[in-house]
Amino acid sequence: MEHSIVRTRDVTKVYRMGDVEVHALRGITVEIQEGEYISIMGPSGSGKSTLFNMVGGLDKPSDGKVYIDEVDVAQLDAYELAWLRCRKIGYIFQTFNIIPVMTALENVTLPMTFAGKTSDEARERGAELLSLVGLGDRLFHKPFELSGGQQQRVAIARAMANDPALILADEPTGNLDLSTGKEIIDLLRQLNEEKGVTIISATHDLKMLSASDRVVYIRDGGVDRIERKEDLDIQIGTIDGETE
Amino acid sequence: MADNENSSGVQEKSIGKQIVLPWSKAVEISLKSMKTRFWRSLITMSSIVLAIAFLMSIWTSSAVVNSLRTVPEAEAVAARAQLRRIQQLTDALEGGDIGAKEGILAEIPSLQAVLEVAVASAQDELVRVKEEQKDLSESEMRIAVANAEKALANAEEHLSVLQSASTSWNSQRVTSVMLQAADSHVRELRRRSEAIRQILVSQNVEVSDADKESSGGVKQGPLSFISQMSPKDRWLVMLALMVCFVGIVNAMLMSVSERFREIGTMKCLGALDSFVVRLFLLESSFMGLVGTVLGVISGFLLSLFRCSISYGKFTYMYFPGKDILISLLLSVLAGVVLSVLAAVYPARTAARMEPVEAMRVDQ
Repeated sequence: MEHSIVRTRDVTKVYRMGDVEVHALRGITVEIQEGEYISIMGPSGSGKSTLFNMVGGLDKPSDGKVYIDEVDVAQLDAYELAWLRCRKIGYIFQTFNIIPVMTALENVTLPMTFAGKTSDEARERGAELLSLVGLGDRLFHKPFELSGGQQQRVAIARAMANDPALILADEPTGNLDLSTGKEIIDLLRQLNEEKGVTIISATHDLKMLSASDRVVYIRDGGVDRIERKEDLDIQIGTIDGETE
Repeated sequence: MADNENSSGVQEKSIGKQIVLPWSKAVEISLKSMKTRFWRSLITMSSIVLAIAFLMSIWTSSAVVNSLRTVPEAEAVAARAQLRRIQQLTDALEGGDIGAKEGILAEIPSLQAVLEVAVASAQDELVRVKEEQKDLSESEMRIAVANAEKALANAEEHLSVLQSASTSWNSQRVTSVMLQAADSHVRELRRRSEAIRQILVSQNVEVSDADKESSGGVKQGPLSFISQMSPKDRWLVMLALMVCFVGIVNAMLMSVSERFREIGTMKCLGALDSFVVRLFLLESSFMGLVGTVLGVISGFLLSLFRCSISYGKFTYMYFPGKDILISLLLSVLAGVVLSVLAAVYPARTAARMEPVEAMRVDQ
């Protein structure tokens, strides 16, 4: 059996807002294998973000279990969670979230600093990662000197900093135009294929569909359906008007 | 990494706990953040500058006034005591006590110094008189110059007598010169002390009316400039520091809430709560240090300027160096401690932020 990197078992999340109870997740069970590229899709309020936060170790379930690399997330204390986020998981955000006071290289090496790497090691690896994402000539640029797409590339390099097993991408193309978004998706796909890193993406972007191995559709706090790449037959128009 | 079981019996791969933020790195990040938010921090810093400048200026003035209240009088008292001693020794010498010569010789160095100053000022006076030709008639001029030259010659002669006292001892000459020098020294100091007293009274400073002949002046401890602060000044200083404190807390809380994304992201990268606290406390302490130093310098200079206007050259003659140094160090300490304490609550608020905040998108 392939190793499952993220596994949920009947995960439930209930928010209490005053007297009202909001059931964001109603018992979701999914299994994500190592090396997969998963997209989680669903309308606003469907519980997509809540599920995403669960599998990403950003939130704990009200009921049920979440296992990241076979470790029950609910049992972890603050230090262990921090370690998890530092070493095992890389995060990519819709708003890029590059720290504005640091250069691209410093941003990428920050997680390495937390992991205890020396400055020299960190800088070397940081430069490697930045050339991998195509920014080898912009190591010392500050975020305001980079375009949206470039900032997202820095974010991706940063997510890869400590060689994580899992990358979580929250609407990575949300703030990018069509062509830049496509570049980012291609980059993620490349990382997934070449480095074998599992990618879980919560997204509205239909372009992501063709890159994903599986797509999990969430509706009303439950799994609506799971589609596999082989079963998909989507033709997406490009800017030129030609179909994929 | 060893495998161990947790309470629910599930095989749990031990997760390491090693996450670090070296101090050098923390300092680096804090300084960068400060540089970027420079203008914003400047405004917060200005409240520290003002509060500490106020504190330092009060302490400086207080130290100067204290010095003027006590030192001139103490000097005059000491000079009177010296005169008495020399008189007694002279009488003893005339009465045949040869041992008194030792005592007399011991008093020479200090009087020599006094005479050297007297010679220098006589020279300056002569130069001044020669240059001031306009207001006086020719005969008046000649008299003034002659007087000045005579005074100078006198002082120089007295000085040379003392300088050669040990080699060519003439007890009558030496003791007479010493008595004259000591006497004029006492007169000079009394004049000065009286002048300073007048100025202090005119500035509404409390001067003791105690018998100046007997008392040794008011004894001052090293931190007296603090304990002798008037209640009004004490209250004003506390108020200034409290306002400053509140200002810093407010500004930092705003900064924290603006940087929710940055903090959330750092947490996603694995930062511990303590890292976030560390970064904010460092930022605040740097800002506090810079602001305090600026405040101390400006407060000191302002106060010095004011004292120069009120007390003229006496400010520098009786400059309370040690007291000023102590108040400087205390002010810097107060400023930095204030900044760090003010940052504690905002830093903890920042540390409590959840990583998921990083994903917040304002629609």
